[in-house]
Amino acid sequence: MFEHLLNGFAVALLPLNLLIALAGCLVGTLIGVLPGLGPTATLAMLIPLVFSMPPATALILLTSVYYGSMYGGSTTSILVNIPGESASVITTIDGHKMAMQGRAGPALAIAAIGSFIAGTFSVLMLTFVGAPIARYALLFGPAEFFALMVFGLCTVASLTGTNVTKSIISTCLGLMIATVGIDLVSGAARFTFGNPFLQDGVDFVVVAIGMFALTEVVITAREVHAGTRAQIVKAGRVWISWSEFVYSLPAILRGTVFGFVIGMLPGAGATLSTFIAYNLEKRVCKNPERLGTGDIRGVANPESANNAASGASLVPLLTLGLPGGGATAVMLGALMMLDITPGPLMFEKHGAIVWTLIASMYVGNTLLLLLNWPLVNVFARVMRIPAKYLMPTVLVISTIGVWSLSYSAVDLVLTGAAGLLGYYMRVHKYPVEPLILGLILGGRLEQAYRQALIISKGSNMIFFEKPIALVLLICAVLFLFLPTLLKKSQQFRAVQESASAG
Amino acid sequence: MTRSVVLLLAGMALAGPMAAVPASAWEPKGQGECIAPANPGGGWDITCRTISSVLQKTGAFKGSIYVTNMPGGSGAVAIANVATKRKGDTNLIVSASNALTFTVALGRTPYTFKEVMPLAQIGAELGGFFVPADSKYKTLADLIAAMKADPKSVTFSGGSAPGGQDHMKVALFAKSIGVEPTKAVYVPFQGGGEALTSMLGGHTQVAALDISEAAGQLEAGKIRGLAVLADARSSKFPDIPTATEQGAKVTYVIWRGYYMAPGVPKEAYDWWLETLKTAVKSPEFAAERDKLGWEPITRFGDEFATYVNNEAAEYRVLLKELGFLK
Repeated sequence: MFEHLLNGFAVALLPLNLLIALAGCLVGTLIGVLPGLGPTATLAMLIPLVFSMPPATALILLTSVYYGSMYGGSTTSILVNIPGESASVITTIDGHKMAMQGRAGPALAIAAIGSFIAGTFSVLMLTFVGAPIARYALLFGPAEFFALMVFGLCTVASLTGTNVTKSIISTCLGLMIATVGIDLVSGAARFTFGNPFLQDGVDFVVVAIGMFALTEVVITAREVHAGTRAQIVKAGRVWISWSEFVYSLPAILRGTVFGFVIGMLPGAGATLSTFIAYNLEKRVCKNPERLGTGDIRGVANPESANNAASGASLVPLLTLGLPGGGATAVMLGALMMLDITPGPLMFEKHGAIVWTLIASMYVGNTLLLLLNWPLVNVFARVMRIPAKYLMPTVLVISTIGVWSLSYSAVDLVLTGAAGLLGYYMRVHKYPVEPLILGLILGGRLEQAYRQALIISKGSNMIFFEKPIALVLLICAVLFLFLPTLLKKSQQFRAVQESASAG
Repeated sequence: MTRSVVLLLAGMALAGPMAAVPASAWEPKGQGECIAPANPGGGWDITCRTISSVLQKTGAFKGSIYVTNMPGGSGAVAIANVATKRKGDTNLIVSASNALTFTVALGRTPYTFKEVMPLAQIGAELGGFFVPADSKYKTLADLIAAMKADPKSVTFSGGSAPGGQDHMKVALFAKSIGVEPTKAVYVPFQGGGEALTSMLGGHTQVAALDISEAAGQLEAGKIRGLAVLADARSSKFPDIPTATEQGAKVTYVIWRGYYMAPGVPKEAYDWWLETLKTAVKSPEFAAERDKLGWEPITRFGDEFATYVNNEAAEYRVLLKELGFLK
């Protein structure tokens, strides 16, 4: 196997392929930075190029762009509080606060380092234990998926920690928006008002740009106008210190493991993994109250999770020929166009190409880190741009991002509506992140539930008969009520102690 | 960039028809366009890119042919756009397949194949039923026996919504063996890959897919093809018998082809027809077809138009029977 891998490196390190990987990482990062285009859309746009390249080179381009855009998503989250893609929504919570505190540099740097560690970890796993662990993905049927997503949504209820009821309301709004479009099970069009553009549902980007970008611009404008805008602290060090790295390392490692485990499940994907990883981090780390106030671990953890997840989603694709999510489904299509039939025989029939691809993932991760060393410096300077220039630019780029989705005016109207809703929510302290997760998971959640019910001929018992589903559902309930119960029992104990003392 | 291409070509479309061209030697001027009514990477996108590359490689089309992606409503957005805004555009073709027939038959668009000009079918994919290699269903006969004994005992998975492509295979199969189609248990997934995963994981028992979607697992011996839903066996997997051979008269072929905008002059329409007829016989096209796992089943002009219109009518009948249409 080492021989295969070394042969892979020999091809991946050819000047042309190295150049392509570098270009891919750069393009991916830049596109990831732009709100609107996520990894899946970016990959899809590159598909035509695949026709004009040797197979190995084409795959190197696709994976490096994929990695790059996954990383680039964090940049706008940190700098302007707008997630570049759905897996970076969580990063806004601590990342943007860090930037406002003059620590944009360290935030960007830890995102790069975390991504590198997580990305390399998933490739190592793919290299050495890929095929055996990929089989675990098959254990997840509709019932198990439903339970996993319920678990994900329950962790979100305690996300921002301020008001659980408001989080739940926000999640439900997201789930409601997710019902727009053609119902996968009955085929009926729901809430489309006869408009074909609404048949495919409301895109995450449309809502996210409205809720994050529009509201950010309006709120900043109001603050600047009223003279209440907090002065951005003058940037300190651009790169991070050793102690900051040591401080965030456990968060990186935990994010990596959770990201990998969840990312490997088909359809679950990077976004869910960031939400779950961040919330578990909150439960197990020291000083959890610091998370959410501009803590570097709040960037390190989700950014590691999403890169581990994007690497992990390639495991079932390459070892079993089964796509793990949106972006890998596009890659599956690319493989077929290159005359590589995705399947369990890929390593045997197209070993050279697959090993080159794996080698190029190591190379891509390293290149991404090297590339971002100077880029962090450049991006951190964005914070010095006065709001009166930065915010209009953000508005223009975001609007183009929405328009580029399907050139539909409907999307722009929806973005405006999402902006209004988002503004109301921000003013009244409703967290918007749960809404976004509800929107992303809603369709899948409903689908998994109904698939499970078709399989069980309508009996809800299926969720209790399947062990994995049952365990996940119990965890979900615990997550929702345990914090309250613990607090109650602490109060109870405190009362008892003071009673016995008195 | 795509947008500017659209604008550019829309501009050309306005300027196009006014030029009087001699009927005998009509040749397209300027650039061509193929609209793929979906995002890049899907079947419609591939259908466009394949013909664009073949026509340019063989020199049949002198300029370049751009591919414009116009996703939305399973083809509804594109057909509405073409039928209303691109009338008489001689340089435009739009990729299509049975999936569009469903959009039309289900009434998800006010337009049908009669409001546009169906051009040609350049290939086809064959549907089939697949089970894990260790499944208790060894042949289609086993499956038929199980279905007849208790239709609810078999769980099918497929990559399309109920009332869509893969469900239709199951419904037609049930009907052909005298089982009430609404009794068949069909679990919809998002795409053939997920339907396959669910079947391999044992969550569902039989996957109703296209052969190309199952090819990788078939080659590896992880799954078994119970039946091909066509009149003749697949050229790539000739070991899988047809359903008809095994006593179930059911065929399900997924055609891949194109339509043109309404009001295209006859000489332009005929030029595309002849060009495509020549193209599908070229070695360049054969190579692409093999890569994609398509079968060389073609239809042109009026024959194709009659076929798709009949198909839409047939689907409407079946969808009514299944309760998807009133």
